[in-house]
Amino acid sequence: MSVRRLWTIGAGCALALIALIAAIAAEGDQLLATVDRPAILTATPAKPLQGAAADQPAPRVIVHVTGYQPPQKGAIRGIVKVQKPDGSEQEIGTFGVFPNTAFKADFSRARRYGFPLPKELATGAVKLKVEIVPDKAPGTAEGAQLEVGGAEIQ
Amino acid sequence: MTTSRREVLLQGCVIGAGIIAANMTGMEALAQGAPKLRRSLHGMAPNDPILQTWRDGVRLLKAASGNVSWANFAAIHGTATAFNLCPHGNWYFLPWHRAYLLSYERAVRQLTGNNEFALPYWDWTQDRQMPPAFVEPTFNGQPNPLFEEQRDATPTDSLPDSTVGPGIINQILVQTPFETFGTSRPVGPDNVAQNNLDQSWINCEHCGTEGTLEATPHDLVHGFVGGIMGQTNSALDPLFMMHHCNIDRIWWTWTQGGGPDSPDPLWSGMTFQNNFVNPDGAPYSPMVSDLLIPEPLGYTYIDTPLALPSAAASQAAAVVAQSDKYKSLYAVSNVATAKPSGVASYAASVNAPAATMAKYLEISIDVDANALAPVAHRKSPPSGFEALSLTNARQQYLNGARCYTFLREVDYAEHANTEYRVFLNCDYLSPNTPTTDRHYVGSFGFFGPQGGHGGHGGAEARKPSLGIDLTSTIQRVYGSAATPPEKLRVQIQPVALRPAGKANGTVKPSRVEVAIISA
Repeated sequence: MSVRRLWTIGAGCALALIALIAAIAAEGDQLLATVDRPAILTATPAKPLQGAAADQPAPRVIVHVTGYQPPQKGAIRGIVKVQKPDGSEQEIGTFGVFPNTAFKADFSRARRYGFPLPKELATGAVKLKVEIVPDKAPGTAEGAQLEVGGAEIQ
Repeated sequence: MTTSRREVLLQGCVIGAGIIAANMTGMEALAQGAPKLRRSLHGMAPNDPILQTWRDGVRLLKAASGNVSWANFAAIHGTATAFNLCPHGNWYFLPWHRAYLLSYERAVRQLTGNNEFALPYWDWTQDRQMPPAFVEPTFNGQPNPLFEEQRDATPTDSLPDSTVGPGIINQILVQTPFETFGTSRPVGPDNVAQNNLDQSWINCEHCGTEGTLEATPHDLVHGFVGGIMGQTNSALDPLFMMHHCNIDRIWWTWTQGGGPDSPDPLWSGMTFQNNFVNPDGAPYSPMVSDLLIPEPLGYTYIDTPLALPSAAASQAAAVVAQSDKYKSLYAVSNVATAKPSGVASYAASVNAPAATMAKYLEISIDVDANALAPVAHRKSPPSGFEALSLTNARQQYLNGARCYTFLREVDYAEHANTEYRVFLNCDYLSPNTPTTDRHYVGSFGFFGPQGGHGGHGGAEARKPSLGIDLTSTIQRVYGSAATPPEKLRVQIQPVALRPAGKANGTVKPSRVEVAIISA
């Protein structure tokens, strides 16, 4: 194998690695939700999904919250939306953080919230959006941050 | 247990003997008589004996020191810096808080001497704003023990549908198994799920996955009220118990509907060792299995046996009769002049300018407060009740007086992108007043040009009339008032359907009528 060919392969691998790292970083960047920007992540099946038989427990999305900073005033609502195959979004649940105080946790100690996932969407990995909004109409939720450590489908 | 809970209630019994024998608390409760009914705060008068007893009990507990005191009871749950014994994000969340509420209920009975007392509940699905009895700093000229000044929510702030709406409650009530409905079993820091009955599992905070009941209405109502209610010392707020009582009621409703509590002995076999306090100050250490059914504990959420499905057939005629009554009122040209029998009717001409986005239209109608009182004080089924018995819920809907308003010959020159919201007697109405406000009645809109199909063939366009049921709003706003108002102010507030679009709707009826139908 020529040196030139080795260089070409090496450069290609390096570029691929850089692209992979960039992609991971990009997803990591979106795990922090603020009032202006939602967290966006992919929920993957925790174990192979079985057929949607009637007697099977309904599938759920489990969202792991690893950090929270309350707003300067009031509280927030977390809204979980799932992207449907046609690109539109469907809200699957809303949650609060109680107590309304700051916390930071490892993934293994994350606070976990479960939301029913429509069976027709539980066919594999799904894209999730986690938004935070003020819990009362006049509020702004300014300063609030919610850190999502990951999500899975059970 | 071989007898289902629903069967027990259907038979009108209190509880099976086997359960009683296994439960000293139940024996004590039954010795004091039948379980006491926990009632909704919905429409409860400020001087109702239940509210008065809770007010007195909170005052006495706040003045006390020692084990049976407001400060000590609250510290069981948590202090200003951390939770203490209460489990959150953990499958003991529901039974632990049931026992915790019981401590308050029994202490208040003892302190006040009112053995008929049972905690009332804040049914936030029906009443989206904080209960009136808790928001006034004074009551009868004295400091109100139920008022908490640090709350963030104002008396007019409303909980949204996404937090406590019927869709959420219905979603919760159909969830199974228990660990999905409630919250799942704790998983320790080493990623091993609970495998013994060590007390440390009770306080493994946020070690399970919160189900919708805890994550949505429970957590969000705490945050909505705010102040100390949003913090670890939330039990210092007297509204805490009314909120948790509704959570407890939803658990009860779920089990009545067939929801199975966890069969795992790691759940049912756990003892909350020295977690709670009896009225005499001694420790109260119930096991989860002691806490599964309210009646042996001395309270219940239902005062009438559930109707059998066959009873629904006999309701059909009553439903048709009620519908016919409404249609006959709508059909007359003016209910105030027609004076149908059994109907108190009133009318007012509309002289004010048409409602616009900038200025709502208000039409004031003088009514007889005595005629309105049965509407305000009629009983309504609590949220989720229809999941237990649609027949009972329908019967309660059919029972009692009702009040309708008719907007006659409505003029609406423009209506693009406009929703017309109807409110009743709202003193702070604006385009931003949400539909979850207690004064909200309903909305209407128009399709097509004024006159619509009526203008075909050159005929003069006929202006539409609308009939709107005011019953629920009157009940919600004036159910707790000793005397209903003598004026009903029907208010029409146009709002934009889509915020981005141009909304130019106006509306003005020529006359507004009110009809009160006695039971």
